[in-house]
Amino acid sequence: MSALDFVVLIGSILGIAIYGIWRTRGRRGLKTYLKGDSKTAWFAVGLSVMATQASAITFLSTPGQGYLGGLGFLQIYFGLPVALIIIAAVFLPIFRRLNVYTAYEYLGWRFDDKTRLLGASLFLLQRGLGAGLTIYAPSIVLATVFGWPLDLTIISSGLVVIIYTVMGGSEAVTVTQKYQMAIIFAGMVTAFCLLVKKLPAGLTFTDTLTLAGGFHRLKAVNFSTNVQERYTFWSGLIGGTFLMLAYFGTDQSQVQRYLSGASLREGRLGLMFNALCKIPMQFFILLLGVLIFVFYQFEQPPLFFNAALSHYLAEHRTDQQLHAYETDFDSIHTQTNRQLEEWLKARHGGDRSAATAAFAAVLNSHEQGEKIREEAAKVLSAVNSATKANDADYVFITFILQQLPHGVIGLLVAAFFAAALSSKAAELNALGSTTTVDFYRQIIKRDATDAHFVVVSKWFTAFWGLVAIGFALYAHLVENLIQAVNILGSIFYGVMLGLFVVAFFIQRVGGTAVFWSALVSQTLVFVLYFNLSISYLWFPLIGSATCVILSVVLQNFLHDARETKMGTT
Amino acid sequence: MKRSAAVKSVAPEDDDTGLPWLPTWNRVYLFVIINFVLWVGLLIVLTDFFS
Repeated sequence: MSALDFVVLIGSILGIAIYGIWRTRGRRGLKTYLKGDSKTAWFAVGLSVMATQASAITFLSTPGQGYLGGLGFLQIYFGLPVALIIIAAVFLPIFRRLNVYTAYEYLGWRFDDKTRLLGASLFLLQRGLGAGLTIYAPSIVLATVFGWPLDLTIISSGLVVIIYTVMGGSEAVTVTQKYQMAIIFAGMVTAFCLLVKKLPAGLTFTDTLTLAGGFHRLKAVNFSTNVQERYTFWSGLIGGTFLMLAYFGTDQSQVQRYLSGASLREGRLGLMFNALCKIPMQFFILLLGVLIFVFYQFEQPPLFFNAALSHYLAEHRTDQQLHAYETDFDSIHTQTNRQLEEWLKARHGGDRSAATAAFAAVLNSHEQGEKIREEAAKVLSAVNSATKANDADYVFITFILQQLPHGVIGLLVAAFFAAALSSKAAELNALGSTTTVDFYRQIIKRDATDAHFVVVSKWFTAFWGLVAIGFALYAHLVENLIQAVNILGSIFYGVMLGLFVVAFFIQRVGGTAVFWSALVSQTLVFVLYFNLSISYLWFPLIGSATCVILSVVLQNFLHDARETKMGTT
Repeated sequence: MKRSAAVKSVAPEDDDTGLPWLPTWNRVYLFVIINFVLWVGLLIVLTDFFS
C-alpha cells in the first residue's frame, strides 16, 4: 500500500467514525442508545439492514465463492423476498405496536419468562459465535496487506470495533452505516469496472460469458431435487425462505435496525428496498468473482491465493518438490493461454468444430492445473498446519493488491473496513442490548435508572466483543467464511423462528409447550447436522417445523388450566 | 400463555405507502414478487444459454 492508499483508508474510516460520534454526542437515554432516535427514514433503514447483513465477509469471501463455484451460491437468497414480505406484513407491525427493545421481549409478553430467555439465549449463542467470523474476515485483509501476524491483527481490529460500538450505540450504527455503504458500493463498482477493463482486448462480452459458462461458472439456477446438493433452486427458495425469515425476523441485530424507523411505513419500505436490491447486489458480487476467474485464465495466477501458503512457498524456494509444483503449474498456464488464443481465433473465424476442440483442450489443461494445485496443497498442509484455510477467501484481496492501482487499493481496503465496522457494530450492539434487556434487567436488577442500564449495556457490548475476538482466533479452521456464517445461522435459526411462528400464529399453544418443544427441536437439529449429509439450507425448515409441530402436540397433552385459558384471551 | 398473539390488522394510516404507483402494501409486495420472478427468469436464461 502506498501513502495515497493510507490517506484514502484512514480518511474515510476515521471520517465516518468521528461523524457518528459527533452526531450522537450528548445522548444518554436507554431508548436512544438501544433503538436510536426513532426518526430514521426508509432509505437509511434499508441501507442499515443491508449493511448489517453485508459484512466484510460478503465483500471478501463472496467473489472467491464466485471464482471457485460460480453463480450457484446466489440461490441461497431466493427465499429473501418472500421472507421480507412476511416480516413487513406480520412481524414488524407487532414489534412496533408493543414498542419492544428486543424481539425476545415479545416472547416474554406472549408466553413467559423462560421462553423469552430461551429465545434470547439461542440468539446470543449463535450471534456471539458468528461475530467472531466477522472480525476474522477483515483481519485477513490487514494481515495480507501489512504482513502482520494474523492473531495480533484479529485482536487489534476487534478492539477498534469494540471502542467504536461502545461509544456510539444504536444511533451511531444507523447514522454511519449509510456512509459506510457508500464507500462499499464505490469500492466494488470501481473494482468491477477496472476488472472489465483489464480483460484481454480481443475478448468480447459474449466471449467472456461463453468462457465462464464453459467452466460452469454461470450455472446460477439448479433445479436438482437432490437434498444433498448444497445450493439448488428448491433449497434456496424453500430452505432459504426459512433461513432469511429467521435471520431478519428473529435476529436482534436485524430487528434493532428496522425498529429504528420513524414509522411502520419507513420500516416496511426499508425492508422492501432490501427485498428488491439484495439479489442483484449479490449477483454482481458473484459475477465479479466469475470475471476474476476469466481474468486469471489469461493472466498467470499464483499457485495459491491463500497468503499463508504463498508466504510458505516464497520462504521455501529451495524445496525441489514445491518448486516443481510451481514450475509445472506455470507451464500448464502458458499452455492454457496458447489454447485460449486458438479458441478465440477459431471462434471469431466462425470455425465451430475447431473452437470446440480448442476449448476441450483448455478444459483439460485447467484440470491438470487444478490437480497440481491440489497435490501441492496436500503436501503443504502436511508440513504446515497453518495452511488449511480455503483459497476462496484470498482470491479477491490478492487480485486487488496485485492488479489494481494505488488509491483504488486504499478505497477497497476502506470498503472492507466499512463493511466490517457496520455489521460488527450492529451485532455487538444487539448482543449488548439483548443481554441487558432480556437478562440483566429481567433477572438481576429490574428497577434501576436509564443511565445505569446504558452503562451496563456498554459493558456487555464490550464483553461480547471480547468473546467474538476469542472465537475469531480459531476462525481459520473453517472451510469458507461466507458459508461458515450461514451454516452457523442455519443450525440455530430454525428453532428461533419456530418460537416466533407459534407466538404469532398458534394462539392456543402456551409457554411450557413451546419451551420444551424448542429444546427438543434444537437437540434434534444438532443430531441431524452431525449425522445427516443434506444441504444446511434445510435445517431452518426442519428446526422451525419440528418446533411448531411438537408445540401443538405437546399442548394437547398439557392440561394446564392457565395455558388452555390463555388461548382464548 | 400470558397474552394472545398479536396478529391484527394495522391501523388505516399505516396502510398508506406514500408511493404514487403502488398505493397499497399488497401492491408493493406484488411488485417485489414480480421483480423476483423476473430475476429468476433472467438467471435461468443465463444458465441455459451459456452452459
